[in-house]
Amino acid sequence: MEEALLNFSMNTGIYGIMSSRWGWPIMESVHFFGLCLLIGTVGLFDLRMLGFVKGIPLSAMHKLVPFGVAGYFLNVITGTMFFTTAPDQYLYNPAFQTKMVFMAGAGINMLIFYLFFFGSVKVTDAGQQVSNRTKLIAGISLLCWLGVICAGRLITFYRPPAYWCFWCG
Amino acid sequence: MSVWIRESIAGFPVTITFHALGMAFLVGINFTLDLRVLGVAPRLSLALIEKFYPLMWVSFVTALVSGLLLLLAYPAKGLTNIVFYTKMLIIVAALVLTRILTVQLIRNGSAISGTHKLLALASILLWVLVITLGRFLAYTYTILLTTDFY
Repeated sequence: MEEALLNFSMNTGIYGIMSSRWGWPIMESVHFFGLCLLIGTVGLFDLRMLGFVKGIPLSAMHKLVPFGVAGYFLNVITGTMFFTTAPDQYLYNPAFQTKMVFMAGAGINMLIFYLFFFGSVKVTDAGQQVSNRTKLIAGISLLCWLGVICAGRLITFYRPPAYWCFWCG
Repeated sequence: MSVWIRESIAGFPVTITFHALGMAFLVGINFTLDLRVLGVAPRLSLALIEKFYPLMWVSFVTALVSGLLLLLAYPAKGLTNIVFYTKMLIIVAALVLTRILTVQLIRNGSAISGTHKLLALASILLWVLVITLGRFLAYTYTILLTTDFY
């Protein structure tokens, strides 16, 4: 697993970029830029659904979301660059594993939101509230993304050896 | 206090996590203001974006206090690095842009001009610089602790 990831990094040239003098910190900066885009758009959208600034029509606000999606993909790309270049620092890392759980939670939650709740949300006008179940979805989204940030920031403080990970084989 | 943040198990990681959360909301809300000025989500009125300012200021104070604590943990590391002072200056510049856009477009209700769009673009660039310089602080220091010299 480790080797396959590392090979991917080397074969694609990612390894070269990340090992250059400023490669890693530059990609970290891009990663944080993407995260700010996501929080500034999707995060505020969640807050509006939860009842903050009810004067905002949700249909108008949703036009911001594509920028959050762009930030998300930017972070998938840069995240993959970190992960494949130093897989041993991530695979066995409890902070990284926790982050992935939050990512999965946010992903499933988003699917549920767009499949079942978006129809009523996009016609929610200024001053109107969304249903309580929609608020729950918004709350889960916000919590997951905050969890992603916290766990992500903590990755660097946990550098366990491989043998800690008994399920990794 | 300085030693506690530096040497306790939780001190530094917890402080830096708060710094990340504060920065994410501070910069995120500024991005949303800038995107709106640049023409995204035209039906979303700027006055409503201003309603998120209390959250922006809470985030700013969170980032500021946690930032000061991180500085306190390793005072010589930041204070001997030109990157640190550059970052502080750019934060001030970025906040001045936020203030100009807010006063002109929301308080005075001026129509969005090309100049405002340019300022919004500059604001995005300045915040990206703040992020980048902040990240580079961890890689560009020359002195970690003055006690290393004793």
